[in-house]
Amino acid sequence: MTVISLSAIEKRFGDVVAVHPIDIDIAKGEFFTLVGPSGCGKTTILRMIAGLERPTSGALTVNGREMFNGRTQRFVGPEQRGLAMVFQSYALWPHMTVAQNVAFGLAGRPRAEITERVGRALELVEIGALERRYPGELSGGQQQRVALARELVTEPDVLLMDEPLSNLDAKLRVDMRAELKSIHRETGVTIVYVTHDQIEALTMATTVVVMREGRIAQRASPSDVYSRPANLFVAEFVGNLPFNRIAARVEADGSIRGHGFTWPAGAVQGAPATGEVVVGIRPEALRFGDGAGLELPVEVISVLPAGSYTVIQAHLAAAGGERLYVQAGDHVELQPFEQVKLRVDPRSVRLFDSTTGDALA
Amino acid sequence: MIRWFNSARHALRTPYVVLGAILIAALAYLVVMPFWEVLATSFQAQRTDLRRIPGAEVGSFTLYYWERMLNSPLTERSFVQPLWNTLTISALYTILAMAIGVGLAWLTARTDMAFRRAIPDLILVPYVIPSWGIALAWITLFRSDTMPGHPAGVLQAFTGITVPTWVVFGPFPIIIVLAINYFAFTYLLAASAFSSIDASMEDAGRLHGASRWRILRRITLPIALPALGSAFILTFSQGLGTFGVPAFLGMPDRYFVLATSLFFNINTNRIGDAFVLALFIIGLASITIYINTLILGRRRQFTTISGKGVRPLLTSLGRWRVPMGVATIGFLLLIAVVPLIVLVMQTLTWRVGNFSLEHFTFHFWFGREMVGAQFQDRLAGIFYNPEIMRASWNSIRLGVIVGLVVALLGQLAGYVISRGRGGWISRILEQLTFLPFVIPSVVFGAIYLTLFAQPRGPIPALYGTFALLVVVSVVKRLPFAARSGTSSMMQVSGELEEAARMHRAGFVRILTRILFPLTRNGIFVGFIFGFVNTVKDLALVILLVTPLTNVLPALTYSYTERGFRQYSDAVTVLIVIIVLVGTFLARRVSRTDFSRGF
Repeated sequence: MTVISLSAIEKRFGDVVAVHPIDIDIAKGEFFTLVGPSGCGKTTILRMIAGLERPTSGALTVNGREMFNGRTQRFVGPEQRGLAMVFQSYALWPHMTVAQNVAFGLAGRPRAEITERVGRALELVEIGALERRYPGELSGGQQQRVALARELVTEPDVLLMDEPLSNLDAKLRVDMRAELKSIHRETGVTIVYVTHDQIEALTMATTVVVMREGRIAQRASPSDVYSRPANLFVAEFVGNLPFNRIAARVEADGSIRGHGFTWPAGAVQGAPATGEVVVGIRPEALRFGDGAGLELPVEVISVLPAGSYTVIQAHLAAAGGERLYVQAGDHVELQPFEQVKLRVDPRSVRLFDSTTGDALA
Repeated sequence: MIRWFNSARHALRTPYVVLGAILIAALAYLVVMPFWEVLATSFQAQRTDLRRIPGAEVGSFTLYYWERMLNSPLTERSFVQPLWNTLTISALYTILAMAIGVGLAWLTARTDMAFRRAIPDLILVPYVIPSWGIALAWITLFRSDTMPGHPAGVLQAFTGITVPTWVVFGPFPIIIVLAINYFAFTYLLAASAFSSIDASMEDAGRLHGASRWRILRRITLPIALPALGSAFILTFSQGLGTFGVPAFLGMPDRYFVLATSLFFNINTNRIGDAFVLALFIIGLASITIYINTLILGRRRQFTTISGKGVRPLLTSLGRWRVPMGVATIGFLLLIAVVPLIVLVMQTLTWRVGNFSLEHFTFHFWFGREMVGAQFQDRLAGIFYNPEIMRASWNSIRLGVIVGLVVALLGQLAGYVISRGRGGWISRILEQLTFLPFVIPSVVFGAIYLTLFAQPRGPIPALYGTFALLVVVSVVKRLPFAARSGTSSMMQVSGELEEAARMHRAGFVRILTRILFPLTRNGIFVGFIFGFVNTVKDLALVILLVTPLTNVLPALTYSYTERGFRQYSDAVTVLIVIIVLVGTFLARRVSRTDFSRGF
C-alpha cells in the first residue's frame, strides 16, 4: 500500500532547478532512503514531503490525501499533515527539559496520559533517566535519542529523518544505525531517511534512491545498488574505496581488449557487439594470485594496511597505466614496483557505456 | 481562479507574510504617509499666512515657505545661521566624542591598563542622566551673578570663581555636553571594531619586525578605519536633530540650531517654515546615513572575525598602567556623579544661588503647598505636588507600555525580517523600521502634532491623548528594537520552529512556547532600552503633551522656562531615579530566568 506518492514533483528556487520532475512511491512500512552528494535535492524532497517546502509543480499525496497539487496550487501546511520529522540539528528546544520537549506534540491530552506516553517513548530510546535534564546538558548521542523520542511519542505512521546521524562520532553512528533498524522493526513506522552516507543507506534501508543533481540516478534494493549499479555515478558513489574503471574496447570478434589485457568473447555478460566500453570492478572483487577468473596484470604502486584489510594501489599493466585499487586481506606480502596478476570473477564485472556512463545489460 | 484562491490562502497561512503585511501597512501609515504630508504641507498655504500670500486660499499651492526660508531677507537669520550652527556643533562634538570614545576603546581593548575590564560596565552609568539634565547641571554649576538676570552657580558660591558667559551659554557648552552624552556611543562602536580585528594580523606584522607603533599605525588603525568612520558618521547624524541640549544652553543666548529653530517656528504657529526645516533635517540625516552605508559597504572586505580565541597583542603602558586606569575610572565617575550632586544641591536651597547652610531646605522635595502658589517657594514639594505626581505616573506608565510594546514589536519585526530574508517583504520592512532613525525626535513631534490634530480616516483626533504619546514613542524606538529583534531571531535556527510546526503547533503557540522564550534576552534588552529612552526623551514629547498627559521631561522644560530652577532640577533627579529603579527592577524580575544560559 502506497503511503507517500510524488508524481512529477518539481522544485525551483528562482532559476535554479533543485529537483527535476520526479516520481516516487513509498510503500507502508518501508525504510526508504534518499542518498546522494550534497546539493542533489534529497533534503528538498524530504522537506516537500514534510510540507516545509512548497513544490513548484506536480502532485503529492500522503495516505491518499492530496497535500499539494500544482494545477490548483492547493497546499496543506506541515501542521496539518500529521507527519513526524527528526532534523539534522535535532532541533531540540533548548529552553525545555527533555520531558517537555517530548511532551510538546501531546498538548491537550490528559496529564496522566502524557506522563505515561513520554515515559514509554524515553524507555524505547533508552534514556528514561534523563527526562528532567535540559538538551544543553546532554551528549550528542543522547540529544539524538531525545529527538527520536519526541517524534515517536505521537505514534506517527510516517517518520521523516534528515541526516539524523551526521553529527555523531563514528562509533556512536554504528550503534544508532542498529538501534534505528530495530525501532523500525518494532514500531512498523514508515521511515523516509535522507543521508549523504552510502553506508547508512546500505545498512538500514529496504529501498534506496540514489539522487544526482535533482534527478533519480537509481532506485533499487541496497544489495542491487551495490552490486548492480545502474550507471557509473551510482557505482562510484556507493562503496568505500574508489570504484575501478578501465577503458576498453569490444573487438569485432567479441573479445574485450584493454591496456595490457585481452578477455575472450563471452567472458563478460552484457558486452555490446563492438565499440568502446568502461569496465567497472569494485576493489573488493579483485584478488591476487592464480585460479579461476579473468586476469589483469598490474604493477604495485603502494601498499596501505588498514588493520582488518589492506588497500593496494597499482598501475594497470605497467607504470603509466590506469590506476586501480584492490582491497585485499589483512596480510599482503607485496612490494612497490612488483609485477603481479589480479583476478576477478566475471560475475563481478560490470560494463558501462563509455559516453553515457549507463550500465550495459 | 482556484489556483489564485489556493495561492492566496497559502500566503495567508504563512505567518511572516501576514505579520509582515500588517507591520508594513502600519508603518506606511505612521511613518511614510506623514512624511509625504509634511512635504505636501510645505507647499500649501496655511490659514495664518493667507494675507501674506496674494490670491491664496487655505491649502493652495505656494512656494512661499520655501522662498521665505531659502531666498528672502529672513534666510540668513532663520535658515543659514541655524544650519551652520547645527553643522559646526555636530562636527565639533563628534570629534570630541570620538577622541574620548576611541581613546577609551583602544585603552580597554588593546592595552594592559589597570581596571580595564570594569570600563564597559561603567561607561553606561552616565547614560542614566538625560543629555539635557547634564545641560541643566552645567548651568547650575557654572553660572554667576555677573551674568544679567542670573544668580550665582555652585562654582561661584563655593570658590568665588566666575567664568565668562560663553562658557555657560552658546556653542561651547553645547559641544561639551553633547560630547559627554555621546562618547559612550562612539566607545561601543569603536570597541567592537577593535575587538573584531584578528590578532594574528598584528602578530604577522610583529614577526616581520614591525614596532608596536608601526603596527598600530599601519595595521590596526587602517583595518579599523571604516568602522571608525562609520562611528563618526552615526554620531554626527545624531546631532542634526538634537533638541534638548541646545534648547537649554542655546536659546537663552538666542543661539539656534535647526531643531530649536523648528521648535520656535511651531510654537509661533509658523507650520510652513517649520516643515521646510524638518525636511532639511531629514534630508541631512538621510545623506549621512547613505554615506555610512557606503563606508560600511567597503568595510566588509576588511572585517575578519576569527573563530579562534586568539589573545590580541596588548600594548604595555608600563608605569602608566595604574595611573591611567585610575584616571579613566575617575573621569567616568566624575561625569556621572558631579551633575547629579550639582542638581541635588540646587534642590536643597531656598534661594537659587545661595548655597549657605541657613538656606538649606527639603521644601522642594517634601514641602506642602502654601498660600499664593504662583511663586515657586509656595508650591508643594515634588512628592506632594499633584502636577509632578501626575507627570511621574504618566512617565512611568509611558515608559513601561512603550518598553513592552516596542520590545514585542521589535521581535515580531525581527521575525519577519529574518524569516523572509531575501524576499521583498523582509527588505521593505527592514527599511521601514529603520526610517524613524533619520527623523529626529523633535521633527516627529512636530509632524504628529500637526497631522493628528484632526481625525484622520478611521483614527480620531489624537492630539492631547496619552495614546498619541505611546504611538510616537513606539515608532521612534522601533529602529533599535527591530535591529535587536532581527539579530536575536537570526540566532534561532529555523529548524526549531519547523520542528514545532511538524507537531501541529499554530503560530501563536510557536511564538509563545518557542520563539519568545528563546529570544527573551533580546526582548529584555528591547524593553530596557525602550523604557529608559522614553522616560528620558524631551524632544519627542515636548510639542505633544498637554497638562493632563504631561510627562516629567516636558515638565522640567516648563519649570525652567518659568524660572523654577529647584523644581526643574528636582524633576531631573526624579527621572534619573525612575530610570535606575526601573532598570534595577527589570533586572531583578528577569534575573531568575536570564541567568541560566543555554
